[in-house]
Parts: sequence; structure tokens; C-alpha cells
Amino acid sequence: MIKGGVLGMKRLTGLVLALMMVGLMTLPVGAQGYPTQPITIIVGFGPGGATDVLARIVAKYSDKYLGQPMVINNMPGANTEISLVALKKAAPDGYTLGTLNIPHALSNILMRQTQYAMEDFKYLANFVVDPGLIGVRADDDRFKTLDDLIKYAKANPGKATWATSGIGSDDHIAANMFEVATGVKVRPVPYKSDAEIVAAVLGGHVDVGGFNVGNVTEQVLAGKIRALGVMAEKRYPDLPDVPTLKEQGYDVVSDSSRGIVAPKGIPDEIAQKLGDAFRKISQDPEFVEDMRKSVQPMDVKILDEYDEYVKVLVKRFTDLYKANPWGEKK
Amino acid sequence: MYNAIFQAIPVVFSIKSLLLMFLGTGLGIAIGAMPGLTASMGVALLIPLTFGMPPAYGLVLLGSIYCGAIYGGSISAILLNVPGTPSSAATVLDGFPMTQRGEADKALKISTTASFTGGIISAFVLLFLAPPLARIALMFGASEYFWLALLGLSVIVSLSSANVVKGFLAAAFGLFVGSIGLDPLTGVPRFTFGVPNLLDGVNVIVLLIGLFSIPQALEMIESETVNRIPEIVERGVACKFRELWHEIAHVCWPTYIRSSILGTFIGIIPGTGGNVATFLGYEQAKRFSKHPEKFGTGWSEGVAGSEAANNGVTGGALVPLLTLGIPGDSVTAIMLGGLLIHGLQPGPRLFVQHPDVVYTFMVGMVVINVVMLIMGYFGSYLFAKVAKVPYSIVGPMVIALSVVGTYAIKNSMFDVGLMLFFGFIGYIMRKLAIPAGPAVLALILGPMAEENWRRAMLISGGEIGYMFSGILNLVLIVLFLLVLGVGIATFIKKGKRTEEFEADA
Repeated sequence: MIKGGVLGMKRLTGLVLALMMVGLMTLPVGAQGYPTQPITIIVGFGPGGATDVLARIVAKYSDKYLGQPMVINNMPGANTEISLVALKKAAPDGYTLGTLNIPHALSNILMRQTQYAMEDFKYLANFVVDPGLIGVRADDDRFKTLDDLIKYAKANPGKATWATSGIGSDDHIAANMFEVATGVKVRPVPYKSDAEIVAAVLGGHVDVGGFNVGNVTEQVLAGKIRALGVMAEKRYPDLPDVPTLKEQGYDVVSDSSRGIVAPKGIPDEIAQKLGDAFRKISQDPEFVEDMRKSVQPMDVKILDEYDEYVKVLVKRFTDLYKANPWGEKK
Repeated sequence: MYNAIFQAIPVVFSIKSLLLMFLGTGLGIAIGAMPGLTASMGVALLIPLTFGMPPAYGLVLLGSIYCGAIYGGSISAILLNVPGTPSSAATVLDGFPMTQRGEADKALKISTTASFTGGIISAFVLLFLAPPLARIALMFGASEYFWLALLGLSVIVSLSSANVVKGFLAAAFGLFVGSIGLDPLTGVPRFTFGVPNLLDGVNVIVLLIGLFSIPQALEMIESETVNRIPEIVERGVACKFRELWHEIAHVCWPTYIRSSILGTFIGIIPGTGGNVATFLGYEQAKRFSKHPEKFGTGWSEGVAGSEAANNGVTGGALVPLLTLGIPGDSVTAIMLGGLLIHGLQPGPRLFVQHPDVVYTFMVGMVVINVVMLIMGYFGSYLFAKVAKVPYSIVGPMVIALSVVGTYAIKNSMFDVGLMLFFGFIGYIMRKLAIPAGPAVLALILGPMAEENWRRAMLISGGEIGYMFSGILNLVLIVLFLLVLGVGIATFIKKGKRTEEFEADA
């Protein structure tokens, strides 16, 4: 049994190596017949995270719509910079694609020197826009509504602790936007992961949690966390009772988006073919169901639309950073 | 609840499920035994394979990998002096000296039975006590984590009982390595020299492999017995059940129980896992032992203390994952992704919405541990043969596996280079009899201490009283002072001791 295990492992490793070599030996082929071999997707986070889950769900449908499988290559590190630099350096032949997370990719550029720029990529398909959500512990009677929180913060400037998933994360930027929009001061407390934020809020260690709909919906539905507002243009379908911040009079729209991009220079026909395939995947009812079940709030933007969207975000974040900078520029 | 358990039993004992358990546990053991390949990696690798399975079976497979890999790490720790995973870092201290005495099979069987005890106790805790114990997971705030990290760091004293100064030297090195990377609170890069690969800091496994595997491999190659097996190891015989039972009944059983419970609690606390449990379990075994002076010389309680604790983590870490949606350690963090892919949204409603899946998984965890016991017990004679392979073959293999394992962490060649660099440092450390354990421990707990101290100061607005508020903080402080005090007292009492077990650390 154990011997079998070792052999299986070796075979698996061999297979992975072989696939990687195929990826490396890619010859410059035209769009003719593309794709003729498996496509690698470089994921900027480790296995198990929301971005990894998204990539794996998309990969599941690759065979059906592109005729070739997709191989996931996790390259976590430096708030996705490691994976983006690897993608930038990859041959622009359509056989190496990568995930792109915003604001992570953008925030890095604003906060420190990076070895990539937003212009290094061809934007193929954005799949997810996961809106921010302000939440408190369900039994915290101080904050029944967003106005309670704002009143409290006005009376006690900089005292309300607000858990975020780190400087430069969308939660942190959301707290920043909230301060600008409401004129109050809160105290952002950086954590390392969304799970830590959930634990800190449930345990009563911080007052407010900067969440995303994707990672907190279950807690809200279970009655453990009270949602004070969603930072989106419209309400989230699975949380119909939670008003947006805009409805409550504050112009705060913040989210975390996840999509798939290619290195710049990819032939137009291939980009078009990938864009079309991703559009078809996103319309497959089974895919939609998979995405719903794994709490990936879909907002699909293909090619030009995605490109436009990124441009808007670049401007939004740059302006915000100028007005109220976070972190330190090296 | 009992109804749900009874409904789960036929599924758990179906042929398909049992087959998956044997397959997963075997694969897990192999993954764990290979230096660099860890339980998290094994689970991550297998998640795509579970796509086509019903969720309950998929989880059973992942659970088998998890338990098998945590146990498997002890095999290379015992036989080669190289921890297969960070969770077995303290197992080497007594495991390898036992192998050198020709008692490899006994050490493996102690590890197997201790791992089983830890695993089965934590699995029953998971099955019957998960909801009430989940509260513990939420009790830990920044100040509690700080004291917990300090408590863990105080183990350094007992890890380096031969020469505390050298132990602290190693710990200081580990603390420095832990400060590399983005500042956890302000995001400013520290000691990264403009290298993006260093922004996330140094992965514990990279340091672990560098400091343990490479020096060990080099030492094997330069050893006088490079081409032949020392006679005492060659003669090493199988450990009979009677002998094992005698050892457990007369020496080890209190350690088995204490370490299992300790490990379960460490598992429940989010953010701490097997890599902390191994050290605390070892420390606790030594602290309560009738023969603390024998630790480090190949004393079975040392192996049991570490191994019962790390497998105790398995069931414990699933407690907050399944009840709250908060993973208890790094492996369950990856399982969370596995749950999502199967459309099982982790959170407080998981038990209500998918009781069939959850109970099958939890009952499965109990059975998985039995499977692990069977495989480990009857496999140990086979594994022990590794100790009889000449160093000239094993040494280069350890290096090859170390390179592959390091690469596999993040698919990064940079990490391989870094690992080799630490290997060089580790080699020098070993020649100077500086123990490697404290460096690894400091890398695990140093950043945890720093981050949480600063987070606590941020939350409290610099109010120092915050660190001492609440009963849990006080308990942790008292424990910390006790461990530290006793450690120092023993050190002073013993005066100078020869560095007999220093080199193995």
C-alpha cells in the first residue's frame, strides 16, 4: 500500500514535470489551431484561497470550451507580485495565463517599487467582483446601524477598531474611503487573512470587520455577524436586506476583483479566442452554479470591457492614494 | 447528533470509503516522510482529485492525507534525523538517537501509537465536543496570541539544555530570519534588499530543510561509516508487541494522554498547528517525566511527547473549521478551499445544512486514525529498513529530496537557493554544536509574537494594561513564567553539563 503510494506520487510528479516542460518548450505558433496543448494558469495565491478556487473552477470548463485542459501553477508571494512578474516574463503565446487581483496588483504599485506595471498585461476576462461589507458582531448593541457606528466614531475619533486584511488590501482601502466619505476617523488594525478577521470580530477583539461579501455571507446568514452595509452600487442578491452604503448616503464603493490576464503581446486572434471561450464559460449554467456555491460574486467583463474597468480603477485608486495615502512609498 | 452519527457509519465503512482511507493515509505517510513535502502540500495536491467525488468521500480522502502526513513526518525524523515536516521538528531529538542505538523499529512504533492516540482523542473531541470547544478559538485576541508565542519560545531553554547560550544564539538567528519581509502592520519591506521573493519573509520549511536536511546529508557523506552500516544499527531488531506494551504501560502512557490533549487544544487555536505542538508536546513530556535527564539521549517519551501532540492537532484544527468556518491551522486553511469547491460553505450553518457530509467526515476521522495505526504498526518494520541503507546512498537522496521539496512549496527556484544557503549555515552550526531546533521555533513564533504585540498596542492605543487584562492572559503569563523559571532553575542546578545531546538538536 505504502509502496503504491510512493509510486503514485512519483508518477504524479512526473506528470507535473512533463506538463511543465511542455509549457516551456512552446514554440511560437500562430493562432491557427490554438490551443494545441494545455494552458498554464499562474495563480498569485496558494491553494485553497478564493483566487485559487476561482482558477480551478474555470479550469474545470476549459476542456469543454477550448478543447485543452488548464494546469494550475500556484506562485504565491509578495501580494501577487511574484506571479505577475512570472507572467510578464512568459511567452505571449496564449499558453501561459495568470490571475489578476485588484486592488492587490494596483496597491503594490502605489505603495512600493514593483517589477511589473499594469500595462504589462492583456486583460482577458474578469470573473469576480466581491464587494466590501462592513460588519460587527451580531450581539454588539453599540452598533445596530451604520449611523450608530458613525456617531460613535464622531464622539470617539480614532477609537473604533476596524480589522482589515492588511495595508493596501481592499478592506484597508475601504476603511480609508469610509473615513473620507463620512469625515470620521477609525483605527484600522491589519490582520493577515480574512479568517483572522472573522475570528477577531466574533471573539469581540475588534469593533468592526472589513469583510467581503464572499467571505462573510455565511456568518451573516447564520446570525453571527451583523452587516451594516455593502460597498457596492446595488445590494447583494444573497443578502437582500443589507443596504448599500450609497443608499445610506455615503459614496463608498469598494471591492476585490479577480480575473484572468495574459502577457502583453499576445496575438489578437488568440486573445479574442480566449475572450470568447471565457464568455461562453461564464454563461454555462453549471459554471454559474459552481461560482454561486463557492461564493464568488460574478461580474463578468471580457477584453475591452475589462480593460476599461481597470483603467477606471487605476484612476480611482491613484486619486484616493494622493488624497489619503496608506503605507509608505519606498 | 447520535442519529447523524449512526447514519454516517455505513458510509464511512463502505468499501469505497475504506479504500480511500488506506490510499490517502498511505500517500500521506509517503508525503510526510519526504523532507519538504508537507501535509498542506499533500492536501493541496489532492483537492483537484476530489472534484469528481461526492463531498463526503473527498473530505475523507483529504483527512487521510492530513493525518498520514503529520504522522509520516516522524519516520524520516526518526530514521534520518531529518524532520519530514515542521510538525516533527522535535521528534528528531530522541527519535534519531534511538535509531543509532538499533531501536529504529521501537521508535517508529512509539511514534505510531502516540500519533494514533493523539489522532483518536482529537477525533473524538471533534465528534462530541466541537461546538462548546469552538469558543476557545474565539478567546484568543492579539494579547493572548502574544503570550502564547512567548510561552512557546520559552521552550528554547529546554531544547538547549546542554548549553543555553548556544540555544539562544540559534534562537536569535531564527528571530532575525523571522523579521525579513514586509512589516506585518505597516507593509514596509525589511531586510529584503529589493528582492520581491523575500517580501513574504522566509518560509519555515525552507529554514527547516536547510538547517536539518543538508547538514545531516553532509554529515552522512563525511562519516566514517559512509559505505557500511554501523553494526549496532545493522543488528537492530523488530520491536515485539510485548516490549512496546511494556514501554507504554510503564513509561509513556501519561505522556501519550497529556500530549494528545495539549495537541488538540493547540489545534483548536487558529493560527497554531503541528509545528508549535511538536515543541510544546516535547517540552511538556520532559517537564513531567520521571527521567527528564534522559531526554535527548533516545528516550521514548520524547518521541511520544512530540508525536502525540502533532497528531492531536488534526482533530483539534477541524473544530473551528467545521463549527465556525475558521481554520485551526495551515492544513485546514487549505481544506477550507476544498470545502468551497464542493459547494460546502464553511460557517456556523455547515452542521445544519450538510449534517450528512460533516458527520461522515468526523466519524471518518476516527476510522482514519485506526487505519493509520494499522499501516504504521505493520509498516514500521519495512520503514526501519531505511536505517540499514548505506549513507552513501541515503545522503545524496536526502539532498535531492530536499531540493524537490523546497521547490514544491511555492514552485520557486529562489527558495531552493535560500534553502541551500541555510544548509551552509546549518552545517557550520552543527560543527559548532549549535542546536537547530531553537532557530526553527523562533522563526515560527517570533513573527507571531511581534505581530500580535504590535496589533495589541494598536487596538489598545498603547495601553500596556491591555496585555494583562482577562483571565486567559493571566493564565498564559503564569504558564510562561513557570516554564521559564523551571527551565532556568534546572539549568543552574545542573551547572555545566556535557554537550551529550546537543549535537542532535
